[in-house]
Amino acid sequence: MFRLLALMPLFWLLSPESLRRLGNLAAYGTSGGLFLISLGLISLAAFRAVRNWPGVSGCENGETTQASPPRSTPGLILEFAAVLGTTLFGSTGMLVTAGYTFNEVFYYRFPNLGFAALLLVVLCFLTLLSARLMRLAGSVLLLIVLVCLAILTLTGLLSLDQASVTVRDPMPLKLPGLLVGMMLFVGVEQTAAVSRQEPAVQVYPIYLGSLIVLAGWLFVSSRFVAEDRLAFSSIGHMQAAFQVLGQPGRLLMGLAVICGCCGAVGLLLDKSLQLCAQMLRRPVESLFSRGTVIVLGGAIGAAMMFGLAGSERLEILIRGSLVLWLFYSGFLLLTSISCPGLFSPRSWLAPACAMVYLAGSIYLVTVDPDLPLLAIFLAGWLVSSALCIIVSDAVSRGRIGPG
Amino acid sequence: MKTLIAVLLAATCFIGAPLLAADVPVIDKDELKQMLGSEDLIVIDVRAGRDWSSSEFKIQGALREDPNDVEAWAGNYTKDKNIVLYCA
Repeated sequence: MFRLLALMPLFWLLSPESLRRLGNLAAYGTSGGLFLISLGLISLAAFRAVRNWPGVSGCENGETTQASPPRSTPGLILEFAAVLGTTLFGSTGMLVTAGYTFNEVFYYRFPNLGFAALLLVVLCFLTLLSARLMRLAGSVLLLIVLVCLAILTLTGLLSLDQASVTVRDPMPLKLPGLLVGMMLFVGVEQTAAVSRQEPAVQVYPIYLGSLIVLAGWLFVSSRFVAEDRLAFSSIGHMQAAFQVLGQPGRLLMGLAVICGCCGAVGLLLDKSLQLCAQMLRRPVESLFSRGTVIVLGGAIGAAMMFGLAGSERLEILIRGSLVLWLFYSGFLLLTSISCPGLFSPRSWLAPACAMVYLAGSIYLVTVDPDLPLLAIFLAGWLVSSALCIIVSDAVSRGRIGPG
Repeated sequence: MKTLIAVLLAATCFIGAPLLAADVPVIDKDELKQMLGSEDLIVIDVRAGRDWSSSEFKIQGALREDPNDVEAWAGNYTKDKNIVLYCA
């Protein structure tokens, strides 16, 4: 049962956010699929080369021990900003999407906002009840997503001759569009973290297998839905599922969206809880640490209730948080390389991968259609994160006392 | 236990929020279906952001307008038509 935890690093890759981006990537045809597999392989190889991974954010004095994970302030600020941003804004978007999916696919009399709120409450409750239980539940939900996608992909591959789309030339390759595919790999560094925490589970093969399923789904989508619809649609995955299997396909994809949302939001809440507990230097089980889940849940609920989902700005906030996470992944690799004892020198892929993540995330910011607002958000969010870390450090130092 | 009570209280308030809009005049989908195709009908889709992009259902012929800027477009529609606003 605990082997299912190998699915944890897939929390973002199998989320509804990734499904819609995967649909957009499908518009690039084979190039999109090759990009997905290539970046996935490079990332997995790079992070696998980190041989000593105690959940590091950096390396101080060039040394680290298992008992006291090293921390660098820039790494901690980046991690806090990325994780909290994705938890707050990404979860808001995913829960609203799940609400609409339930309302439109399964039971239209149930209000979408009500369903989104119900999911949020259940996920917060599970996280508060037991972090281990939440991780297991999240992993099971991600497995359901994977099975749904595998069924749709196989069905699509077996009925390619019935595909309604005449195969045409895919969209011309554009770097900004292709790099949006990078956002699928948010949290890929968790492969190394989970692999270390749970040595018995096969993290890397499962991540790779999932990538193959997703590449298959990308191929099937490009054969069943016209590329111009895929490129600009936010529901390309639903359209493709309907084209492949009709109403049962829509039900399967609806299930995948809701399970993916629950898995991703639950594991994000858990990750935020762990991070806040580390910052506050208190056990995860303490009431003080657990209070962060209630604060986060309340903030997500307030964002939904006050209509953030109905504003175009939510997309900017989500994109900003994802870019921060990608930058953090690159930063993490880079600092691990420069820290003796943390990194296997055999892999030349790691520096290359770090550069791809760092340069790619900066490039994504520069070509963003809402650059001024995004820049304001990034600056403000990083400053706020730095302030939070300073305050939490002062609080925890004051509590512990000198020496 | 306090945590549990707080969570349940928040859930009750939040799930009940849509009911606060119960006094807004609404028509159901069957009524609208009967009206579709009429020259006297204007359907305006005022959903924005995720409310629009996450939904599979878009009414054919509906016009999209910004719900936060009603004054800018309200004058574009004559009052002698049946105007149906379509939100979340």
